[in-house]
Parts: sequence; structure tokens; C-alpha cells
Amino acid sequence: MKTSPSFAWILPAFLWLALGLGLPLLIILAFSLARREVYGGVQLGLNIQNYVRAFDSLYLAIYFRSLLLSAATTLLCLILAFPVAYFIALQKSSLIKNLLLFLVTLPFWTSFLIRTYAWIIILRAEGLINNRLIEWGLVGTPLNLLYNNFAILVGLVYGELPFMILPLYTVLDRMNKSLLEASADLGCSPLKTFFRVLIPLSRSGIWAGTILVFIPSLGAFVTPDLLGGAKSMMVGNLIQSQFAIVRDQPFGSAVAFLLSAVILILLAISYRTTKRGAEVRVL
Amino acid sequence: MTAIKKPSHPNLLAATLAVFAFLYFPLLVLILYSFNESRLMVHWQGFTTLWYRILLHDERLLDSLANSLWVAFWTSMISLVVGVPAGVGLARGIQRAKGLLEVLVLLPLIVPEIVLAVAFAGFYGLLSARLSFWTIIVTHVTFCLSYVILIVRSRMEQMDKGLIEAAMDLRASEAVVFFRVILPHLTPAIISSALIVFTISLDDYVITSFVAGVGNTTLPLQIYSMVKEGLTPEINAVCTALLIMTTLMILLSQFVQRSSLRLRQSLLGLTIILAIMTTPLWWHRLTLAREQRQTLNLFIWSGYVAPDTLKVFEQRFNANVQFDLYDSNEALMAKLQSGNAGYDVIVPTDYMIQILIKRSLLSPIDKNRIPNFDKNLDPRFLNKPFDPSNRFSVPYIWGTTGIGYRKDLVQEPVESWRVLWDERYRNKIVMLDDMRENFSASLKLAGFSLNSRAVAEVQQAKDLLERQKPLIRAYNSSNFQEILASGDAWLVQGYNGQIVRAGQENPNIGYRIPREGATLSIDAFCIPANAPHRAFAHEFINYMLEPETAAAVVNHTCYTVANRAAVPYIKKALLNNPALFPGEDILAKCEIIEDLGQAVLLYDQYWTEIKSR
Amino acid sequence: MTVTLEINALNKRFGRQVILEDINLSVRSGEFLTFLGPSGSGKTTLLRLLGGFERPDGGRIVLEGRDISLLPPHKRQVNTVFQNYALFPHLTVFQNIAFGLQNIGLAKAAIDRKVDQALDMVQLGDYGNRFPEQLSGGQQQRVALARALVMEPKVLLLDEPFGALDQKLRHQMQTELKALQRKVGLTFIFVTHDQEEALSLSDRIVVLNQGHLEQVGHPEEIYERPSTRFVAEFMGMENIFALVSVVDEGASLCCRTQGGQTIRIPKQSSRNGMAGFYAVRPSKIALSKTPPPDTVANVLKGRICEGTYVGSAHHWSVAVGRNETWKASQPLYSNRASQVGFCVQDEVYLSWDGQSGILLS
Repeated sequence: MKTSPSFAWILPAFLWLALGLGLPLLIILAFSLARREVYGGVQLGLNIQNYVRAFDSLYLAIYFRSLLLSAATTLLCLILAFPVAYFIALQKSSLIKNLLLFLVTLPFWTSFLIRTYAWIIILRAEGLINNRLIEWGLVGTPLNLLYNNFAILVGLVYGELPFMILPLYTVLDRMNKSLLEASADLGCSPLKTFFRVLIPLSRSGIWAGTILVFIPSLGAFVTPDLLGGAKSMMVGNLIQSQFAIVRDQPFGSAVAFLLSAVILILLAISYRTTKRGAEVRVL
Repeated sequence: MTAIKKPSHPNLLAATLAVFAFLYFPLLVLILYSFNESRLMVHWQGFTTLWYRILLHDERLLDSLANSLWVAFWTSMISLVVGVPAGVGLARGIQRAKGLLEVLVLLPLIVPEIVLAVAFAGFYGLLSARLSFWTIIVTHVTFCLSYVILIVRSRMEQMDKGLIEAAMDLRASEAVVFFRVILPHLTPAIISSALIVFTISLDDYVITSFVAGVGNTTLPLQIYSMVKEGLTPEINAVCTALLIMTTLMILLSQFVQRSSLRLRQSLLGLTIILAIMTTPLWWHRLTLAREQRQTLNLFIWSGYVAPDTLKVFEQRFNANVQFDLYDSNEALMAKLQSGNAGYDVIVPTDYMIQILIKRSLLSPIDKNRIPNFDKNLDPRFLNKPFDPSNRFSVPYIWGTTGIGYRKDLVQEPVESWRVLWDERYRNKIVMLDDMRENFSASLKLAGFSLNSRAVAEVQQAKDLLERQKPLIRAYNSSNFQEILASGDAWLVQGYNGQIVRAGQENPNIGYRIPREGATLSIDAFCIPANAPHRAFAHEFINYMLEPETAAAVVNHTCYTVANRAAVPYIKKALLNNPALFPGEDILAKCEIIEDLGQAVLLYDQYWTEIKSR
Repeated sequence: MTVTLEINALNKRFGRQVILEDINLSVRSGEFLTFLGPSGSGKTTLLRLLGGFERPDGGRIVLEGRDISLLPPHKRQVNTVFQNYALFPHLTVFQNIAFGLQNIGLAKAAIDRKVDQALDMVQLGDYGNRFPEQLSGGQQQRVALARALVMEPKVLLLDEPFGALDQKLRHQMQTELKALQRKVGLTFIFVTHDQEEALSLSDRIVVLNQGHLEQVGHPEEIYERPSTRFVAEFMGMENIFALVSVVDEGASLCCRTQGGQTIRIPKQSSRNGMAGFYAVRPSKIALSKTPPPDTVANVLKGRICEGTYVGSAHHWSVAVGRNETWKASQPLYSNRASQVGFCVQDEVYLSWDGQSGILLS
């Protein structure tokens, strides 16, 4: 199509994003190089002190924990999502397929805050689970299900699961089912087929889902805040506290940028290995 | 006879069902308990629609819902108008600035929400922009545009390019090509992106919390503060209502997408027309209150007003009070710094007042306009070091930070801070999510002043806190009394008012000020330097100092006021409660937190270390 | 004969690759002109340049005296029937046809009238309210045609419109199209890679090869007297042999093939210009077991190496000389008994007269 439309089509969007998004991001880049005034103001300058400080062992522990939690979330999502995605992909009727997909994404449409809050009710000491367990005599004292890493994990997995199911489904649906039959024909048990055929073939879906789950988990802060009891800081909490509580905007900006940089690098690697921005396709 | 069909892949089916159960369990719980008679959501006590009725009368909640819908609607509209042409243009191969635009479009999807939030906040702060609906909408559009652009572009790429050439061949100008050929093809993309943008905007908490001004509370913000205050089935009711509404919306959009083109187009047109036509109604509702009456913008601690306090004020002065809640002084400070939020009256705590004065963020109070100042206030709380002649602050509520505990679960008497370090109560201890308060407890335990600037002393306090950390269940400054009530904690560090109030419902809850002493805090009314309604603010403060008003606050919230004229109106039971009115000897051991200037950086650092272990 | 469209020295490149080079052509008013060539020959690009969907890199396109080279499609008085029809799926057949008329601002009554006429003209009078997806391929084709014709363009461009149809339908549509063109009297420019189609439909054929004009002429000219080897091969000519020498012998030319055979061709049959190849159709060559009389201009001796029976004829491949294979086609008549039969390995004589052959560049 050679007769291109004029630039005016994308001009409003371009301006809006450049000024409304690009500019603020540049500003916190500037902040990250600034100094904190005594009572929390910002003194602009050219100072990498914040970045140096961001690599202090104290904070590295936070980054590490965040990475660990995000990785755990991603892994759990993978394990839970695979059977579901596979099951849906195997359905013959497209009506059922669509219905199941709809049901998978429906929770996503409800408020994230609402869903997190529901878990508080379920997990707390006098919450649903503990109550039933005590009633049925399975435990003597209530289990510690809330305000710890377990609760954070549950919350994160719950929120991100649809984002793992969908890309997996997309790739499994497109897959040539006769490959599985060929594998069985050549003597592979179902389990072997799973590992030797199914997983390699769905690699791009696994990767897309991983990106879609890992990155938001890394920056999460509402979930650790509400479900984790504000006890363990993740990167998101660190950034938020710098801005909302400690009032060290320069340092917070530096950490924010580091987080974004890590994510960009991850995405760059992903782009190279899959040759197409798979996460965009899912939309 | 037909053969019975066995489900294929029974294992997969089982796994899928299990996962679906996991996905829907919380939602079902929510819905179920919204109809539960009991407030506690523990046992089923009967079916009722009580909470829905309360919901319908909860003006604040309904206002926030209206706000959210308003914001979501405009966000969707603007995003579509700006984003659809951009998506079309990108797909049709515009070359200029294409690369840069594509990067910009991907940024909101890559950069974490918290980073976007602080960027926007910093941006508006730098511009000293007045935070309002428009800052929210502009911000929402900024991060929602990407969805529209990407979805529309994807759909455009699927379009048969020949159709555009054919249209041009048939003498269609660019405008005709867009409206008569491209747009009809894009209808499903427009509907789904509008739906996504609407939902994202409706649901956004993180970014909105950083860029909303006074009176712009959206539903997620309201729910968040309700969750922090305490869980009631009313929240369940809201959630259920939202759930139903969202489901209906999606079903509707699915239906529309699958129906014929003609039906689709007419429905779309109908929706837009309806939405635009009803705009005057919403706008009317939202601005009615503000325009007709005097406005007062209040930023106050959650739990510091009685239900009628503000209503009576509104009626008497023909006013409209917009109020927002916060649960930490630092949050207050951050809000004041991040942009012109437009508050008239704030209620900071002593040391924060000191800081605000030093940063020239407060405007002096004209005592001539507050006759109740000299008449009613207790002199014991005046002329404190943080504001020597009360030039900037009018004391309102004072309290102590001590130990709340479950009498039925903690066997021995609670006398000292040491009990919060007791190994026997591992994982049953909650401390405030507040740096100074944590250090106050440990400094007092170590026998030092809670305003110590001596590095050695602070270091010792820090070591104590680090040793305590493994025993701690959670850090919580907003609803610690609830955690105590629910049994998730047996011992909490908390403010006396909230704990005493919880004790009224649950007699097993007690409060003690440890023998080493505790924090005494005075929260006072202040007027920010850039308050829009300064004169009216004075009226409000004067009203709050009235004996009946102050007493009503005490009677409801169980926090004590620095108002001696109110004493005759306070319930006897509260007056006799040593938790609220401790003896002089105990008071003598309590200290007010002071601002430590540069020294606070050390505390900051230690606190982060503690939090991150 | 008026000239409607004038193409002068037209050039088109994509990056470094040359798509069209130095195209010069005059299109006559009311003629059915076909661009014929294999894929990659540039014929579609040439059509798109005429339609305004591409811009030329050099040269001019002049329509009835007006230079339209750089005009966008919606400002040209030409219309295109697209290869995949490009019917608007969200509009009915009626609305599709009305689309262009609405853009030029006709009154509703006039539009209605013209659309009805157009529908009648393509025999789809009752289908106005249907949607394109409800029509068969052939019907969609006709709607596309009607939509373009109703605009009364000066030239109608058709981009391989019958490519997606099956054989039988294609023949039928070809006939209808030709009749329509005669009736309406518009200038049609038609693009195809199918030489049979081109031969049956066109008043003139333009043969393109790799962006160059190979030959322009009436169907018989193209078929009987191709001017280049490419055109000959494209039109199915066989027995094309490279020549090493051409000697003028007065009334005829004596050509010597690479394989060493001597062939004669009368001078008036040949054209002026380079002669690099000799060609003669297999159907013009006679086979015999005995040597033909001396009056025959060209005689070759060889051995049959292959034979293919195709019902109406026997195609023979005959090895001649060291390394040449000549093809001869023996038509089979109903009274077969009187014909001579051949088999592989037979020694035969090939004979044909001088003017049957042609020289190619």
C-alpha cells in the first residue's frame, strides 16, 4: 500500500505520549541524578550517588527477594496454567473453547483490589480456611496463612494466572495435534510425550507467558503491602516508600530506573530469542 | 442405546476444574458473604440484604463510584479519539516518527505501574499542577492509549488492503476512506479496546492514588481505605455489585460483536449518543454540591471524625466538605509535596508540624477567628516545642501509643515493652508501620529518650528491632485493632483510641502504656500555605473546638481531645478509662516525638535495613 | 482511431530493483488491450501505475491529453477491477456499486437509477440487497465489474479478474466480458498471464518480460509472428533453435543452426533486425518415411526418439544431427487407416516450406 496517509493521523497520540509519558519519565531520570534535601525536596544536579547506593547489599537483598518471588510466581503459574491451556486447546467445539476462555479471563475484569481483599478474608486466622480446618479438627491452632510470603505468592499467582493461560493456549491451539499422535505411535508414553514433544513445541507460548507474568510481579507492591503485612519489602514497596513515606525522591527514582532497565534487558533478550514481540501479539 | 461417553483426558479435566475452582473461589466467597447477616464474615448467620442497603446510603462510596465511572468514561472516549487514528496510521505505514511512537506506545506496558505513578506525580509536582479530575483523566489516557493503539493496529493489519485501494479508486477522499471503509472494519477492535480501557481505568489504584486531588476519590481508592479501616460486608457488597456490572458489560460487548454489522453499528452509535446525552446528568450531580455551597477540603486521619460531625457542619454553614483520609504523617507530607492537592485543613502530628513549619508549608492561624481556642482548649497541650506559640497549629486530638493485647490469649499482665520481644508470642506480634514509633518502643525499652540523636543509642535500638523482626506477624498502622480482634495477632503496638474502641466490641481487648513510657502525640489542625479557602478553614476549626462536637468525636472514636470544655459531654465510661486518661505519673514518662533534622536520615537508613531483612 | 492513453518512457524501481523500464505505449480508444506476461514481468505494476496506486520514477502517463502521472487514484478518471474483487463486506451489493457515485456527489435518484442499470447489465438485478459474502465467486466478480463500470471511466483496468475462477466459469466470464466491452465501447486494459485468455479476448496484446516491452500487436501477430524468442516461447512455440549464421541468398535467407542444420526462409517472411533464432511450429512440419520431393524448401533427416499420443494428434520428438531435437505434430484424422504410422527408432524425414518458419531476435 504505497499511498500513505499523512502524519496527522498519529500526531495527537505522538504528542500526548511524548509529553504525558516521555516527559515525566525524563523528569524522574533527572531526579535520579539529583540530591535529596533535608526535608524531602529535590536538588537537581548530576550525581550518581543514588545509583551507587542502589547497589548496596541492603537493597540487593530486596532485589533478590523480589526476583525470587517473581520467579516462584511465574513457575507456579506455569504449572497451574499448562493443564488448563492444554485442556481448552483440545476441545473440539469452538463454542466450549470460547466459553472456557471467557471464564478464564472473567476474574481479570474484576477489580484487582477486590480480589486481593477476598484473599485476606480467606487466609486470616479467623478466616474461612482456618475456621474449617479447626472445625474439622485437622489443626489445633490457626495456621499462619496471612501476612507472609505464602500469602503474597497466592495473591500474585491469582492475579497473574490468566496471563499465563492465554499465551499457552494460543500456542497449543495452533499446534499440529498429529505430532502428538506420531509421538505415541513411535512409542512415547503420555508423560514422555509431554516433555519431549509438547513442551518444546510450546516454547514460544511459555516464553510469552513468562514475560507477561514475571514483569508485573517484579513491580508489584499492592499485593505485598496488603497480603504480606508490610513486612518484607519488594522492589515495588521500596520505590513507593521512597516517594510516599521516606521522601527520598532521588533515590526512589534511581531504583525505579534500575527496575525499568532490568525489565528492558529481559525484554530485549526475549525479543531476540523469539524474533517477534510475542507479548504484543497476545493483545 | 447410545454408548456412555467417557470424558477424554480425565486428568486434564480434573486439573482444569481445580484451577477454575482456585480462580473462582475468592469471588464466590465475596459474593456469598455479602449476603451474610454477621459482620464478621466468619460464620454464616442468615441471609440479608442489609449490606446492600447500607451501600446504597453510603454517600462517600457512591460518590467514589460515580467519580470512577466519570473518569473511566472520559478516559475511554479520549483514548479512542486519539488512539484509533494512531493505530490506523501505524498499520498503514506512516514512516515519520514511527519508531519513536512505537517505543512510546510500548513504554506503559513495560514500565512497572509504580514507576509510572511516581513519574506522573513528580511531573505534576514540578508543574505545581492542581490535582483534579483532569489530572486523573489525563494520566489514565496516557497509559491506556497503548492498548487502543495496539489493538486497533492489529485489527487494521488483518484488513484487506485492497479495500482501501478500491475505495480510493472509487474517488473516496481520505476522510471517506476512514469513515466508510476503515471504521466499519474496526468496530470489534474499537469495542474491545473501549472495554479494556474502561476496565483498566475503573480498576486502577496505584497510579490514581498518586495523582488524585481532594474530592476526587475513585472507587479503588475508597475501597483501599475501607480495607485499611476494617473489613465489613459492605465492601463485599460493593465488589459483588461491580462484578455483576462488569460481567454484564462483557456479555453485552460479546453479543454486540457477534451480531450483524448493521446491528453493531447502530448499537455503537446508540451507546455513544446515550452516554453523551446522560453527561449533563452526571456533570450536574458531580458539580451541584460544589457550586452551590461553600467548599471545605479536609485531609484527616481515618478514624478522627464521628459520623455526624461533618454533616452537622455542612448543614449549619451550608457547606460541602470534601475529605480524604491518610494513615501516616509521611503520606500526608508526600501528598502536600507532590502537587497542589488543594486541602484547606490538615491534621498533622506534632513532629510533622515542626517539619512543615520549617518547610514553610503552613499558613499562620488567625486566632481572632477562632474564639474557641482560648475558651476551650486545655493549656497542657499548648505551647509545645514543635510550635511554641501555636502560631500554626490548633491541638485537636492527643493520644498515646502503647500495647494492645488479647486478655484471653496473653496470660501474664502486660507491663513493659519487653513483651513485644517475647519469643513465646512469635508471629503473634504486630508493630506499627511507622519508623519513629518503632524506634520509640525500642529506645524506651533500652532506657533512652525516643528523640535520641546519639548514634550509639540509636544503633542499640536498631539491633533490638532487628532481633524482634522474626517475631513479627505484620507491620500495620491502619487496622491493627482488627488484626487483634481477628486473632491473627495477640499483641499489637497501636494508638489508644482505636484499641479502646475495638475493646468496646470485644471485651477481651485491653490496652497498656508500658512502664518505660511511650509516645505521646498531639494532632493539630493546620492550614496549608496554599489553601484555597483559608477563612472558611478557620470557621471549621472553630466548629471542631466546640464542646459538643469534640465530645461526640471522643464518644464515637474513643480518641481523646485536647479540649477541656468537652469533658462534661464525654461518656463516663471513657472518662474513667485509664487507657484514654492515664494518670499524671504515667504521662510524665511519655514523650512527644520531635523532628530530628539531619539525624533522621540515620533512622531512615536503619529502618530500611530492618524492613528489608 | 483516437488515442485515449499515452504512456511515455515509464520507469519504476523498488530500491535498486528495476520493475519497469522505458515503457512506451499508445492505447486506442475503445480497444481491449491486454498486458500479458509471466509473474515478475511488471504487468501488474504497470496497471497499478495507471490506476494511481504507484508513482512512476520516470516518464509520463497522459490520459486524453492530461498528464495524470502523479495524480492519486481518486482524482483519476480510470477505475480498477481488483484481483480479489475488494468488495466492501459491510455494504450490500447495491451500496457497493453506489459507493463511487456517492463520492462524486450525484443526487440520490440518479445514483439509484445508475446502480439499477449497472446491476441489470451484469445480470444481477435481484441481488441488490445481498451482502458480498452471500454471493458466489462469479457473482462477486460481476459486482466488482459493475461497481467500476458505473463510474464511466475513460479506461477500465482489470487485474487478472478471472484468476480465482474455475475453467468452465472462466470461459463463460470471458465471453461475457468481451461482449460487454463491445457493447459499452469503453477502453479496457486487462492483465493476465494466461496466453489463451489474452488471445481470445484482446484487440491488441502487450507482451512484457522483466519490465520490458517485448512486443505489441494483434493476437494473430503475436501468435504467428512473435518477434522475440521470449514471446515465441511464451506463446508456446517449440522448435526454437539458435542460429550461427544467416547468409543472404537473394530471394531467401540461408540460416545455419548451432546443430549444423541448414534452413531456408524467404526474405519477405523475415523482419529486419537481429535474427538470433529460427522457429517453426510442430504442426507445420510433415513427417515421412520416404524423402520428400525437392521442391520442398526445408528437409531434415532424423530418428524418432519419443512419441506422445494426445488423442487429436501424435507429438513426435525427432533427433536430428548431433544434438538437436525437433518436434513434429502429426494430426490424426478419423480415417486413420490411410495414415502412415510411426514408432520410436524409425528413421524419418521432416519437411516444411519456407514461409512456415520465422526468425526471432
